[in-house]
Amino acid sequence: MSQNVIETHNLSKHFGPVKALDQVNLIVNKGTTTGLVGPNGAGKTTLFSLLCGFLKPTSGSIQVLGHHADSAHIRGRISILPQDATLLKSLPVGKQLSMLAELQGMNKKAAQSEAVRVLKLVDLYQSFNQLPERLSHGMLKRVAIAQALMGEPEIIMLDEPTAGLDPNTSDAIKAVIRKLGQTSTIIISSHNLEVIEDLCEKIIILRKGQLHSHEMVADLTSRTKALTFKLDKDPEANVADIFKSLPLVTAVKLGQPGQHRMVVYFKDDGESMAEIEIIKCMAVAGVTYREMVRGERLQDTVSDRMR
Amino acid sequence: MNSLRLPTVITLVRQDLYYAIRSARGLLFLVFFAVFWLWLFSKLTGGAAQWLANPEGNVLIGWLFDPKVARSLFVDRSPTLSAFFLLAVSTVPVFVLFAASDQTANDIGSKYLRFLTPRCNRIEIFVARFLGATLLVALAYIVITAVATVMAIVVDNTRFTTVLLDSVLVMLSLVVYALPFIALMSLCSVVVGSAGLSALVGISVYVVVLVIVAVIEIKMPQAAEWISYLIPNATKGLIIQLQWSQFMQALMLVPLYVAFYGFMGWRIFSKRDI
Repeated sequence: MSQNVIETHNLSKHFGPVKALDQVNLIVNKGTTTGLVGPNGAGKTTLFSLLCGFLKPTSGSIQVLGHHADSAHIRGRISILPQDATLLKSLPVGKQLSMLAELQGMNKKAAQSEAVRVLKLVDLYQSFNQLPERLSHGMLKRVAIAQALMGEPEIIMLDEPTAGLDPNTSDAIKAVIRKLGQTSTIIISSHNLEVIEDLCEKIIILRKGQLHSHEMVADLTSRTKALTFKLDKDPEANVADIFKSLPLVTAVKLGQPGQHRMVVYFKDDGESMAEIEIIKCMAVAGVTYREMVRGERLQDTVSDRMR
Repeated sequence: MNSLRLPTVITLVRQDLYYAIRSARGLLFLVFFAVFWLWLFSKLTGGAAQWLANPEGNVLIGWLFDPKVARSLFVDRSPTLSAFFLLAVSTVPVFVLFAASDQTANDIGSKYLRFLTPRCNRIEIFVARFLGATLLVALAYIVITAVATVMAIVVDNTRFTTVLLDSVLVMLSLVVYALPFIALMSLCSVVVGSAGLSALVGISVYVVVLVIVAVIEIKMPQAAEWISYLIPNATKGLIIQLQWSQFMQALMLVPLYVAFYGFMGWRIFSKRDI
């Protein structure tokens, strides 16, 4: 069986004269958690909606699990967290989840158990009998996530899975997604690059409706050996001078004003202790930092590319 | 590509009916429908319809509808059941255009369909919503016809078996007459994003074509007749005399309407963004 679970060929979507997506060719491999990112208007939501079958392509084709996106063969094998869909108003959330589970082929009893299971996963079991209108925005989001976790989907597509969630819930949801990633192929569309960096192995970057890049997150963040520092304050413009005595340092990049960020690139010959030398050098120069990360942050790399 | 799985359709229909009697839209229809008929039944309980079986009443019905209709419905038949039937046929468009207005419209607007499409095909959703609306409307008319039948048996002096046989034909005629309207609403509800707008579109289309037909009929009656076949009440002339032979003709005409409106609706729904 093919290892490609999603394939698009020359996929385009136009809204009137606006080319929201233009000639996108993509392959998503089985078992890979992939992030879909891009600035507003890049075509991220359009691509996500096309993959989910919510939108119909203007031209080009989509294959999901080897079938057309409309095929009955993929029903129940994919699950989706749509960003802006709302639940029915007059039915308790538990009942609604049971109904959706029944549509995946479960009998009534199994469907109810499944609804209980997924509500427990998102820590909302206590709201089983509550109407959607009684729930907060974050709770509704968790219910929507819960419906995407039902059954044993081969592909899970999540649109902004942590948007609107508090940090604790967000971490809990990320843990659930990470666990699901061991058995399913997951695609996450998000503006939050920390989530993408945390969860995804691959990243698809869209720009102006076109595929900008599709590569490993690790390649993107560690292509060059680097240390990223979050400083106490914005560094001086001439901060690079403190590394003059270190031939291993190849470049220094400063963040935008207010970001308090500095990236130090270096050569790694495998023997020298470049990282320690850099930190020592900063300490001597009196440059203090709050946080240090190996490699570049995905956020910074993607932002640089988008500029 | 878009195969129809019967178990999924049945589940969708069951869920649609379950939701219909719990949603504001469904309850509003049922309450409005029940209040309207309770009020009319309260007027018919005293045997008020028996007057329509008299020559004066026959003249009035003949003037309002057709002399043939007056003879067919009010000679040797229960006048109460016949009066109920005439009222029901006349109000079917209003109730059905309202009751069947939200087959997919609100779910398109709220994007609830996005929870359904990973689990069912669009054709399954489209067919199930049509069947759900049909069952809701059919159940409402079956219940109300049963009440009218009981009342006719109590109030009129018509033979019990005649009333019972007529009530079956009344029930079937009302459901058959309602079907093209439900199909029209399945078309209207895929083009807009709210049930209210869908009802408005359906009623507007119906009324506008009625007016156009009425205007054209003055100069070109033949053309008007052809145009009138566009709207879903073309079977009215066949069912209103309450004759099995004409009912069978209507029964053969109805699938054409359902297929025509349904196909148009499906073409839009299968291609539209949700």
